[in-house]
Amino acid sequence: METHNQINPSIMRTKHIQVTLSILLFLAPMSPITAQASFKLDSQASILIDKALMECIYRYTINVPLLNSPTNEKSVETYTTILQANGSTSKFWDWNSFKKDSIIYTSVNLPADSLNKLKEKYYSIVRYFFAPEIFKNYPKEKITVTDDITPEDYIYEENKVDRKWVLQEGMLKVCGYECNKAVASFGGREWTVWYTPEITISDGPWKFYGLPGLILKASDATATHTFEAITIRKSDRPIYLNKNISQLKISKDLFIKNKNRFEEDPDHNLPITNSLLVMSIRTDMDLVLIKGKRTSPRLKNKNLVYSPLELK
Amino acid sequence: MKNMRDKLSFLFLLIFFSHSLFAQKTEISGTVSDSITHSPVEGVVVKALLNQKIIAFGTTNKLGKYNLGFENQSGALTLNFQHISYNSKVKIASNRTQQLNVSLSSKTLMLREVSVAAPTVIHKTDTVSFNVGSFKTAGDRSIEDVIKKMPGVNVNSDGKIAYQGKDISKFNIEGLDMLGGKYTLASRNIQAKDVNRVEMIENFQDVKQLQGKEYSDKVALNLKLTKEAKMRLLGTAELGGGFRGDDVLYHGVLTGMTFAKKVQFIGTLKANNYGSSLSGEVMGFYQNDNITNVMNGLMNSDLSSSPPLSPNRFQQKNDFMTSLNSVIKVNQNVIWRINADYTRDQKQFQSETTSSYFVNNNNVEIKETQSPQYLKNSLKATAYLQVNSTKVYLDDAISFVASNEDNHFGVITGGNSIQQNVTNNMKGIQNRFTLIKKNKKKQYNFASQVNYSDMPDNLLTISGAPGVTGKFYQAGGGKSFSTTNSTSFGYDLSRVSQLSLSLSLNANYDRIYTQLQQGDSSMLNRNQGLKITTSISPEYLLQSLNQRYGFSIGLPVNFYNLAFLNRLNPNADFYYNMPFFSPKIEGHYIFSAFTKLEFNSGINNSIGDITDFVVNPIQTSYNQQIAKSGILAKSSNLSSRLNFEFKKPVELFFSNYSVSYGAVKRNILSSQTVNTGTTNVGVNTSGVADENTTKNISVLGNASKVFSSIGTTLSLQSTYGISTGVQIRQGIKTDINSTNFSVSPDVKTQISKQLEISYSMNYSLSSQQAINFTTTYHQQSHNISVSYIPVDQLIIYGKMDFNRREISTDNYKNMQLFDAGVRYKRKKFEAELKLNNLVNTKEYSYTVVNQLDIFSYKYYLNPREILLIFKFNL
Repeated sequence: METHNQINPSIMRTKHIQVTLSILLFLAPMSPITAQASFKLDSQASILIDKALMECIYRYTINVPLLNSPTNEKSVETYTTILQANGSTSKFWDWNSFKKDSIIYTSVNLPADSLNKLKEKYYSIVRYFFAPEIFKNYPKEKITVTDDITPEDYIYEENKVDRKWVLQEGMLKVCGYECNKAVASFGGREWTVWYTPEITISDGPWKFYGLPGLILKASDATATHTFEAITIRKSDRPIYLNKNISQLKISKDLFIKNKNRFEEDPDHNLPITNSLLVMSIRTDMDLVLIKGKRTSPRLKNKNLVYSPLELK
Repeated sequence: MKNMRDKLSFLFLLIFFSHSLFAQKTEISGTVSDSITHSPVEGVVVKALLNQKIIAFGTTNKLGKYNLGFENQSGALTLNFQHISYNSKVKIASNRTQQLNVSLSSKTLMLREVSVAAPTVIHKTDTVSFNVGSFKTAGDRSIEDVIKKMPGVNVNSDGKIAYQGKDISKFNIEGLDMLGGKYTLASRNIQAKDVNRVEMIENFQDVKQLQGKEYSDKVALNLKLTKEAKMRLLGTAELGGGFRGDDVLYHGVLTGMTFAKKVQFIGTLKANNYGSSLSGEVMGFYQNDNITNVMNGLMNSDLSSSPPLSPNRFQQKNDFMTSLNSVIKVNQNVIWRINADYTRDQKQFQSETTSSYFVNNNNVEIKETQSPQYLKNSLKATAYLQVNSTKVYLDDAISFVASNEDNHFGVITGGNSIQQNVTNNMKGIQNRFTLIKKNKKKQYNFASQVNYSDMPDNLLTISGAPGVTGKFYQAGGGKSFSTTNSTSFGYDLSRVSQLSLSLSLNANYDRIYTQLQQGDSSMLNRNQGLKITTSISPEYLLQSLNQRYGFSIGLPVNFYNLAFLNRLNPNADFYYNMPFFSPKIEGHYIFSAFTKLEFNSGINNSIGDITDFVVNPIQTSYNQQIAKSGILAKSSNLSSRLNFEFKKPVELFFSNYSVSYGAVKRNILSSQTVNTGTTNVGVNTSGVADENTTKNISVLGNASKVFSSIGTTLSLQSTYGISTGVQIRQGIKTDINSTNFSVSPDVKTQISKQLEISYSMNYSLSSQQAINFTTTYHQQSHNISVSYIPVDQLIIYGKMDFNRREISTDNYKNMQLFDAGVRYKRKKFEAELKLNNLVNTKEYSYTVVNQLDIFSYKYYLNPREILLIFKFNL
């Protein structure tokens, strides 16, 4: 501490004050800020499980009557899904997710900020999103399914059992391919499917497989759920399993039971205590999102009837 | 080995053979392998055709094995082996059970590519916008009522809006920001029916140059009005009246608004003697909106205490408020804004305090009856200009504030009637300027804020104080000038790590003048000085790709340059130049989807300001004096926290537990001397140079479970804390330990769509220990609320608060408060009947233990109230 005998009140003794950084602060040219750190979007670690030989894009529609509709109006939800297959292993999932992830996986060597820009460009929220991802024959002789019960992610395994198809007479052209008919009962519904012997892959949309050819169309007896191929193409893209750190392991039966209970009345089954703060609404698409994860449109529109794809 | 395997295979074959004979079935099995590599081929479709018709089919497994079975039938059998990347093979086989191995030669994939329809187009989402139209119900009045119901949105009692836990940084109406931070004027006055959509815009980037280029984590709210609302004058008129005991209550509001394409306007006029303070309605929510003065920290304009009770329970008030706001859109890139508010807050209440001071192992008690009266007038005006084009961003806001206070604090103690008056007026001006210019490679950011405020004559006049003849007074004046400039930037080092740096420069210049005048004797302080803080905060962030772990480390450094002059004693001038480091570390680890661990720890080193050098006493009330040590306060605050989260979502169970530890090392110890005269007790507070440490540990637990079958949510929160510290009382150093415990269960249940009941309870215990001195206080509170909605237009509600508090050892007081009301709405008219304090509870008491001393308060409550309010919406 120093002492001063004379005081000049109008002038502060600023000789002791070092304002070294201030000039730098005002004038330093700044590099553009890339504050959106890449890792903030990468919530998943991916395991490469196989490589596809072909891809089949399916349109999946759910057709349910609206409650309280005087004109018996129906609601049609249209999803776009994709099967990546190679004859032994396959992945069936949402097409928009596939599109987004393809960009991320194929640009591993890009610098982080360019990658971010790419992701930003393709990051999308679509009106209808098919949440489950089905990995057939992974691990061997099993099926792995990842899905969600908002707002949590789940993962379960089931055995790749015989679907007990009964081949029937009948011909239908789907996506330019001649298809044969087969029926089976699965997941509490009676299914009619059309498979083409021309594509000798014993696979199909969702949890369907086991016919002597690729299943191109499947619909249930109530005509509520329909999968139909719209594009068939070659591919050499890798098949990844996204291992999400927050995935909860569960048994198939418990999952189906809880999923259907939740979707039946999402309003009441939502764990509000935990998730209220992370909910948002997008009216342009009639969506409620929790932690950025879409929920059923039923959370908003109480007139929509829930029709589970898998009843049991 | 090989021999053994052959034998086994033979055995298996034998079993198969006999089995098929028994079942009258033909079984054909075998292995399919690659013709060159001889490795098994998985996924080969094998079909058995009898007379050209499929009778069995299957696929090979991972070992290339297949197995077909069919009922015995006669006919020509062919076997078909097909795989998408192998040439097909057809084998004519004898129609009997057999093993048939084949090898396939690979081929390039032949696939007829077809596309009959295009997949759904991706929606690009640069700005994510959310809407809540469907959340509106018949009971809603203002748009705030609707916003409150939006999931993810939290509106606190002041009207501050947060989205996903983040305060909104902009409130726009039709894309224009008219009100800045005082948006409750819009959210509480715009009718829900006039709004088409409420949009929440995440990652809001206001600066056009940076849109799509720079990430922003800000959230903005935008109101989209109905077509009809945009074309006409909107407004509300409210008129209400009622009784509080013998007093007449009144309530009147007149609001007018227009929202045209280029000009928006909100004007409001309110007056009432009931409810919460009207000045709160023009309070700015943005941090840097406020202008302060150095005197605010030295002399208090409020000498009373405030209870944990809503002001309307015990205060009588008389408020007036008017506000005029307009925004003009000059062109696509330029907007002008003007805001002006005037508020007048007048309030008063009655209370009693018993203060028990610890003196020489004894307690000295003083009883006071208090009747504070407040009056504050304040005026604030702001002009704002924004130029926001794709080439440059520039904005400037200039604000002017003026306020005056005239407060009276009448105290009756020991037969003396003491009058304490506080008067002051403050003028302040603030300018905020931002410039952002970006060209291809470089970006210039500059933000500057300048504040100037002058509080020339803060005056505390005391008359009737025991032992003092006549009046005495404490005067004070202060001028404050401050400027803040800041910028920041960051680099991504890799996909998992980031380095960021922020810089800021803060300069404060303050002038202080105080004078304590008692007869001919006066005690003065005259200080002035400059404090410059230059901060550099580098931070490194690392996060694993799967987010299992994350880690950040920061080493902010503050360079302090101080020059504090004492104009009365040049020997006490103080100069100081020193850097202070405040390291911090943060991290998390996710064990599984059910459990997560987070920790953070840091040492925050900081220093005091010019007020530490105000060494001569300042009278803060008739019996309290405070003087500072003349030593620069330094504190080193170590804090650590560990948080553990456990959840079982399927069972709807969520919980978290945390432990925190804090140790604050200070160079100045607070010293209090309690003077016990024959007629009066006085408390003098000062600081002495004595290094001391305050430590605390606290444990917190939180759990909730939802029982969906009975529509009930149960939650429980519990805290436990201990702390130790030191204080000097009557020149003797005394250790003080305190312990706190509280538990609060909460139940919410929805019995039907019409009926909702909630109950919450709190039990707490606080205890202080010093030498020869232990006090423990218990208290509990219970709240029940019921709401019943028989039809959409009608709401009937009731609330009950019950408190049981220990006022002195083993002396408990029970207090209960009942409120009820009915609200009815029909088209443009609305009526509400409010009934408060139905059982006419007269007093509210509680006790607070503050280190060595105990303070017991008793507030006189407002009697039973009945109020009827009519509202007409234009």
